[in-house]
Amino acid sequence: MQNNIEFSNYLDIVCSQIHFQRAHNGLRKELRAHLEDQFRQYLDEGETEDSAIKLTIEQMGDPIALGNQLNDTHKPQTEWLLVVLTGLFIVLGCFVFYMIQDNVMLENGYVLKYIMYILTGILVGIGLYFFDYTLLNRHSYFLYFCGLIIMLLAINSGDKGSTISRLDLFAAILFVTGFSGILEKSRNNQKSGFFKAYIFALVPLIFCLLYPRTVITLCLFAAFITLLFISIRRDYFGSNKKPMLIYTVVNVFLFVGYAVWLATPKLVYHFNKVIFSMTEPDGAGYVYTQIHNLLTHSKLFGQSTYLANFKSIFEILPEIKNDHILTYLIASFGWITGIFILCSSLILITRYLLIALKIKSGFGFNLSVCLGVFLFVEFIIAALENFGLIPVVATFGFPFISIGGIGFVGNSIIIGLLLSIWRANQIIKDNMTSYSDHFEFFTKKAIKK
Amino acid sequence: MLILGLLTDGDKYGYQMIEELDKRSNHTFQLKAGTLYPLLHSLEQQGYIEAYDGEPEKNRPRRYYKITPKGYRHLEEMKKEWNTVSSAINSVLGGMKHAEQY
Repeated sequence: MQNNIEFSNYLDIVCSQIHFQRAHNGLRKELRAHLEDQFRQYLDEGETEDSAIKLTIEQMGDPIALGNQLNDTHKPQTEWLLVVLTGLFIVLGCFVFYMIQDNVMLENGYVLKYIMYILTGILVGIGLYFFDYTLLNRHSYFLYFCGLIIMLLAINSGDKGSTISRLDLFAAILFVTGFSGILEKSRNNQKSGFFKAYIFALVPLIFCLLYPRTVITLCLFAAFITLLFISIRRDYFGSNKKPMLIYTVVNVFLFVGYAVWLATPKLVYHFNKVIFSMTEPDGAGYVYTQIHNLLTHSKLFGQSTYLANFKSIFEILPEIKNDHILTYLIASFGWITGIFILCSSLILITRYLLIALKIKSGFGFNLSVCLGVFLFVEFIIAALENFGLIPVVATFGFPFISIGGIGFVGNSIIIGLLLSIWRANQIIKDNMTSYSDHFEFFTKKAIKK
Repeated sequence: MLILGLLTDGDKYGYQMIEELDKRSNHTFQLKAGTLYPLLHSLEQQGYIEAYDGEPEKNRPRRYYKITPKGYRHLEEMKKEWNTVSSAINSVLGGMKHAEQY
């Protein structure tokens, strides 16, 4: 029909002024619906088709001006603080790597591997930034089951330090991506939606427990719990919140209880190591004693005085560059490095979560919150390890600084995804009750209409 | 301000708003569509209103807008300002009219 062509042409001109491509679809739909309503109105008033088309387009006004105005409110946005901090951490990580490399590492091709991981991570991060993340929302179940398969592969490999085994981080990312989409689909389905979300959250957690993977379990657990509580609070499953909240809290206790019971023999063993490291300084408690010595003799600037007795720090703790990067930095360069890294990491994570709260897309919000929680848990565990408060678990260290390659790529994905979701925040808003400011998030009272 | 006011008694989509505005103001305010949509999207960006896709009517997708708590607060503020300004104007004009009688 003629009006279709005319309207399409009109909309084409409007869209030509809007730089952000992904905004076009939604705008076209909305404007077109209006044009057609207006067109029908004129026809009803007795206008001919041609004149109705003319009048409708006149009513809309100059397409270029319209396009320009819409362009102003549909701009991609970038969170530069995150980008800068991430860049800083990467540089720091490379610097640390440079300081600790030696001939052994060169020979084993370790340096090359490290460089490959860094490049991969950066490319993946940048790629994700430009990627249309809503694609992930359409394949939630598929991604979820991919996560399951990778998790099984990782568990199956047995050896906790191997590369395949460390793929569990990717499995976890796939799980939360799938879960975020499934949660969105379960919204407004009251009880059945709630239980569905519940089951999908529970399955990977049970897997992780049966084949203990401490860090991933904690990450997933924290992420799912946070998301479930937020969803309940936002009336996703209906306004009858109390029974669901009680049910969730009870299950949290049961889960934690069970996990602790499973882990008790290990916990006791390690607890002894840490607390009684003094009584067995050369035996089981060796690592903790040395960390304690290094840190208590560390200065604000410069090398720890404890190192004066040794040729190099690697004499004391040969594995320090793998397991205790922060300790290494504090002991070698002073507390200033430790303080700097801890503060910057906290700023990064806080900013990440604050942005996540502002996301207007339901799926985007779910995913960013989960990934933000991941970063937070990683950080806490890494900090505790480096201060000798907990034993080393199969971890990914400080985001970007520790030299684990897989961890680097995993964290790049986490940052890249958030930047991508945030970038499209002005465009993608799907059925989401957003909170206009953070204060409201904690004090929201629904306006009774 | 007027758009926010329109939304206080129910969510609406673009075309509906133009019609309502025209009707309620007795044809005083005839908003052009080309003015409305940038305005709507700008209000949305500032968080005063929220958009969602409603049930498609006769195969036509409808993008509804609803006012947010932040929008309510903003509306109340603007109403206060308007009342202040309009009563000030009225008292000035009222005073003049008073003087004109003599």
